[in-house]
Amino acid sequence: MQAKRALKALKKDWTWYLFILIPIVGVVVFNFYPLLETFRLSLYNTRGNFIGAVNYDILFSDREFAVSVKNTVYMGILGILLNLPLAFILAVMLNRIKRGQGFFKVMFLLPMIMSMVSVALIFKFIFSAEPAGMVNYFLSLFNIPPQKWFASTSQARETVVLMAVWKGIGYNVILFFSGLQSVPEEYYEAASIDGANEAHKIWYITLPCVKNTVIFVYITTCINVLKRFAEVYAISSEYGYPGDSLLTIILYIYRKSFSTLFFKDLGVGSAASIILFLIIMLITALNFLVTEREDDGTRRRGRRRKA
Amino acid sequence: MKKLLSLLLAATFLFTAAACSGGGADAADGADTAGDSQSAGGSPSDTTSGEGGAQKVRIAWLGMNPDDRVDPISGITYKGSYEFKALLEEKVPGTEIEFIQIPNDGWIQKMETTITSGEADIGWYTNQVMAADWFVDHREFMQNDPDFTEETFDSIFTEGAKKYTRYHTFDYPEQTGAIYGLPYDVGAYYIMYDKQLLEEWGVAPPSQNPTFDELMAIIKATTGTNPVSGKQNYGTYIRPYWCEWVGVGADLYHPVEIPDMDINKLDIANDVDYIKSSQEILDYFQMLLDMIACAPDGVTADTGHENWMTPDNNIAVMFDTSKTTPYYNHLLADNKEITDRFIPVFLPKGAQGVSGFPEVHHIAVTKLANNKELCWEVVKAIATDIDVLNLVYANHSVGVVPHLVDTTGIERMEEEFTKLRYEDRLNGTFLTDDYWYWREPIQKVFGQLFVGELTAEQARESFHTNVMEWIDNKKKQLG
Repeated sequence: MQAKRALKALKKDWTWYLFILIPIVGVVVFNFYPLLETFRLSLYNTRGNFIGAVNYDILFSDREFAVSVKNTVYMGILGILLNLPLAFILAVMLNRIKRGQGFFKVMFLLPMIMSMVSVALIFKFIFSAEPAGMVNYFLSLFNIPPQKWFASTSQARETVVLMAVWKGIGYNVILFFSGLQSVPEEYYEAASIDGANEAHKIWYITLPCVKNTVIFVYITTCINVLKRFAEVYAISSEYGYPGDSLLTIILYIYRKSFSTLFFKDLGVGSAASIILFLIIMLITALNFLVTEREDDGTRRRGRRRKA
Repeated sequence: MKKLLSLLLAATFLFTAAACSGGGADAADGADTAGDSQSAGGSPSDTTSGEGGAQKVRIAWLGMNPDDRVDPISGITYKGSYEFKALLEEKVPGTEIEFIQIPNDGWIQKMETTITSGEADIGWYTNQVMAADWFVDHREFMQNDPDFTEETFDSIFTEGAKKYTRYHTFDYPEQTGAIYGLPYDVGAYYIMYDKQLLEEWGVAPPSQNPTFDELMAIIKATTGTNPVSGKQNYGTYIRPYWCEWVGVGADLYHPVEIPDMDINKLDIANDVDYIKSSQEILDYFQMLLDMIACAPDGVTADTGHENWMTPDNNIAVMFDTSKTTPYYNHLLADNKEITDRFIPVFLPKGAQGVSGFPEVHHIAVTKLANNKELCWEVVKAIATDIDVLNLVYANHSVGVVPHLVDTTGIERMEEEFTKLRYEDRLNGTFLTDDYWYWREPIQKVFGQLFVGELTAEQARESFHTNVMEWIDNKKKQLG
């Protein structure tokens, strides 16, 4: 009976299923198949022989992989901590101004459309390790000794994150801004009558209203920072120098899979890809769980208040 | 209307999918062994048939420009691939050559994609492990070709060119001795010093074949404030990655020869454990630490060399060979301002009398080539025909040296600089089987050494540990 009903529904809406089929085929061909193929490759040696989990064993005992995970996580946390609050503040400011919103939106988005190579060249010039470098010269005016920036193991990651935030923040600003636009002005007016200050308005009105946007921006930023590649490649090519400071997981995978200067080991590279996939999946799932639970709690509290 | 629209969309999707599928069937047809593909060459497909019945041969070549380009340093106009194409078509009648340009950046994956998808009949490669996956063993052609036998191969090419064309890798021991393509040039790198800067410091220039000690003395003596200009000078500049090849001249590695490339037959006691107590290795790491102390701060991130080969140069000895190659263009342009001031010298050699990266460039018939016999004729022409080689050296492989024992007729050999470098490579190329068992392990050391995370002793210990790990991992992978 149920099957009959399903068949009837299918007959009625078959054209829509056909429409859906097109992107589904795309996802299967360009996402699922490469993922399965990567997993298969991670279990084989260069000669195409099945070797079980050997590549994973090699990967987990590789110091460089451990360093790449550490660098990725550190740069990721730093990036999120810098990018999200700053983007939100900028979006709130943008939302408050009455004139010139379009101009500022374009200004924030301009770095995004620049190529990463151009941005890297500019930042290398600005943050040159030489005493005559732009930032170092500026610091010297305050008697601060010149810094090595990209050439220092203790500053390279932070400088790259700064560069990435500068380049990518516009996207999040625009997302937050569009979320803020949907908050009714009446809420703020009512809060003002009740004597709420600006901080209260942001905390009790703005943030709950744009919660879904915040969650979306947070999760997509998390995924992006875990896949950090273009920035480090533009700064240090496939080397990840100074030392291994800029060696991220994706750069590690690139080196193992396509490098012209390092030993090509597709099996280990594939194993690293699978591990990165699992890390991203785990973090995304955790984020969803936490935010969903938060959401449920809010809903329950809301229901209780209503009752 | 809704149904019609969906049908149209589905048809468009199917058409796109079919168009994207490419010539898989053609490629599979050509996937047979060398020698039996004449019939595939007669296929009427677009990829095999050229104009007037000529057979199309598609060559994927690194950095092959279709148009003329003017070198910004020398002002010389280098011919585009059209001239190369015309000459090859003349030398191998019945062919229609098509060049597929592979960009330099990340070339391996681009070349691999082009070759493994059957888009190229002939591919380009340097000393890469995966040649066995991409190309056919050319000994099969040589068996059927009285004009070019394996004896011909052994007699016409230099030792270095032969060594790094015959396949020797731990990953494919069963392919040991296979010949994947033919060489057509050899890389010949050099270091340089700034004569003017040395004069300002009152330091005597190094000899043409300097030792590490000789260069270190100059490097140390020229670091500091220049007594004439008052500017900060640095004794040297050296990149973290590539130091493994500079180290060849410091006798860091043992040449290894394993007839069947069985990794279990690698003599650990002789060819690996010597690292633990090697004075040469310790001295080399210490020397690198001394060099880094005399280099710009940005050296750990490949910056600080921006003034090299300019009137404001502040580096005495350039040890990074990737920064010295533009010298050749200045030489061609007869730019005395540069060539009188910046002087090339050979990389230092040790007791083994060898130095540098044994770089050999090859072209080879791909596994999926459509007409392998014809492709073999093209490969032979590129690797051995003097007219073709002259054109290649003049336009597409500028700054390299020949790979042939007999260089009669090669115009570039009339230049003293090329002749000297050719002789240096002839006698000073490091010949060894699969160098990756020490190359990757030592690469890992340099990164840490350059940023002061390791002392010379720790670097040597780490090098040994990394080599042992590499070998153990390879054994595990190969089973």
